Amino acid sequence: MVKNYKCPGCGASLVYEEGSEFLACPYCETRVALKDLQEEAAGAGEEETDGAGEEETSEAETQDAETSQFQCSSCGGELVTDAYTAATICPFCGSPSILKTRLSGKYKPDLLIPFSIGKEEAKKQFRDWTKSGFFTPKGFYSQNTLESINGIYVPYWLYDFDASVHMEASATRVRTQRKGSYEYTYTDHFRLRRDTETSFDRIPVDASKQMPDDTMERLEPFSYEKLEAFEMPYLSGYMAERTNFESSQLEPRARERAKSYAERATRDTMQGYATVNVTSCNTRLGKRKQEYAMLPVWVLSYRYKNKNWQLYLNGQTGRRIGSLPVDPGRAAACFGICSAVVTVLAGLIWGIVL
Amino acid sequence: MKWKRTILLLLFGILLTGLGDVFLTGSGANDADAVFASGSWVDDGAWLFEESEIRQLEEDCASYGDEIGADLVIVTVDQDTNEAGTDYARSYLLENGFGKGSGREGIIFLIDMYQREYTVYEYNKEASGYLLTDYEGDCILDALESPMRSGRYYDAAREFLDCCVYYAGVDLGDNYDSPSSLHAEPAGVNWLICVVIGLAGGALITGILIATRNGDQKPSSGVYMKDGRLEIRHRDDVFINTTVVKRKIETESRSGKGGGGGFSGGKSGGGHGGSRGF
Repeated sequence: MVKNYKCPGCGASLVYEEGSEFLACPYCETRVALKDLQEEAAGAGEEETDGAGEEETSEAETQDAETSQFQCSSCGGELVTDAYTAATICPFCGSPSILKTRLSGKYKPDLLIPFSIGKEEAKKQFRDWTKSGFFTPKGFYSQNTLESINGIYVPYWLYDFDASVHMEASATRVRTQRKGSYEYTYTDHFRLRRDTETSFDRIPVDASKQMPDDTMERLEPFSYEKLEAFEMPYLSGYMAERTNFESSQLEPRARERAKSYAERATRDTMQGYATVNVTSCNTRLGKRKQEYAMLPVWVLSYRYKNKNWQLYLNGQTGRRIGSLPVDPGRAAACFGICSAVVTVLAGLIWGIVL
Repeated sequence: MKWKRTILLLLFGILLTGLGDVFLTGSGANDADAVFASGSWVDDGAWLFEESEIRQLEEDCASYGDEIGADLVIVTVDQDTNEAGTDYARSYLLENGFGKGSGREGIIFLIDMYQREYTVYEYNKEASGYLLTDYEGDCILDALESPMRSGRYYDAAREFLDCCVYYAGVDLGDNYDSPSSLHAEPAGVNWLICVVIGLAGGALITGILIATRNGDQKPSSGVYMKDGRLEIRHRDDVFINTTVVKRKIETESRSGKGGGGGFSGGKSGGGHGGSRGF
């Protein structure tokens, strides 16, 4: 089933208004509270949702392992999606379409953080970003072409762990004393032992094959204060993917992170020593629960000198992760200046030492 | 009568021998220094020199010493003297009776292989009688550093003698080579190496700047830690033992391999000197 929220005023598609509790019509500026849509949906029954303001069409006529075809509820155009797409924008009419069946049953997310940063703000951030940095080519701002900008709800698994760490280490503390014409260096040797316990809440692991794991990790953290129970209308106007992985498939990644965090925190309690050498470490992790969540990410694709680049933007906090092109001239200038300064410094130090 | 004549001839011979000694040394019986100065100026206890080198050094110590009016002594030791280099050098000069003139001027170059240290020490009863100033003493220590560090002990000894003559201000004409350290070009800055260091540093800095300009760090552990805290259930910091390393402090005048020991101690007379490690 393809779901589309219609404006009660003009019939256009409603989209989620960033940072609010409303869907808004981009044409007549009508606003519909999410709460009202939820109540309507509840009144019409969980699965039967042809109440006012909602429109659904039947699912694809054809489906294979790689792609599925749906019909746009607004223009009737064919939407071709991959197997994981849960919400998309019709390429013909620009209407948001939510593939309801992809977000139901075991694929229904538990939680969602709504977009706080809108499309215009994302564009502005992109423009600011393209102007930043010494190495960025001078004409980059004017010459790059923003080819696409997509707000995507990326599927994540959030894991809670209890961790207990038993760590042993050998440590030294050094002091010196002068007696007459001799200097005595005393090295005190210690054996350290720590038993610590801690809990981790909602360590996120992205469950999308499309998104680079390292980049998604660097987009963190998301502020979980804005975490809401999942509601379909939040997806209106954005793209979304359902999880590409079962929770158990991604759990090792989360465990690895929790283990690393717990051990680092335990190691940090061994303060006040000149050297600390961890001799043994035993970490036990107990998973409390996992949750399936959709978290907001802007993906901006742009083209510069026949090469494609991407900027990822945390849709909640605005944190930017991406790579900017390097101006060879500026890099050479930096290299030249740095080399000259280091050469002169080396010469001065050499002269002073001699 | 024959035996009486033999005794008289014997006594006459002894008398002649004594007078000959007096005339040959040219200092007279009242000059106590002459008694000691007839000994060796080179005492190679550490076996650092060849026979021929010792002979040459002896000759030069004698001739240069006469010219500048001081006993020039070269001593090498290879055992623990239980004394600082300057103290041992002073004792050596005094106990062996070295010294010329009323102030008993003597300059000693001591190579202590046991402590890997060399010393230059000048003795004179009166400070005004010193041939070397503290600065000149430092210059001699500096000049000896290179040959000493590279194990060219004979060259160091020759440099010592040349420096003594040079700083005493005596012109020995063609028979004397001024200290080689004075001819040495000052070691300049090797700009080629500096440029290589500069290029490497420039590349490193540029690389780091480019690599880190896009890089946001991954979140720290505290972000997901419940209430941001870690509960320590058990904490043990058990003291095991203490190990001690004893090191002799290199003082100003015994500055070790790094060089820099100063020539000092001569303001009130009696002697001044300095030691350095090699």
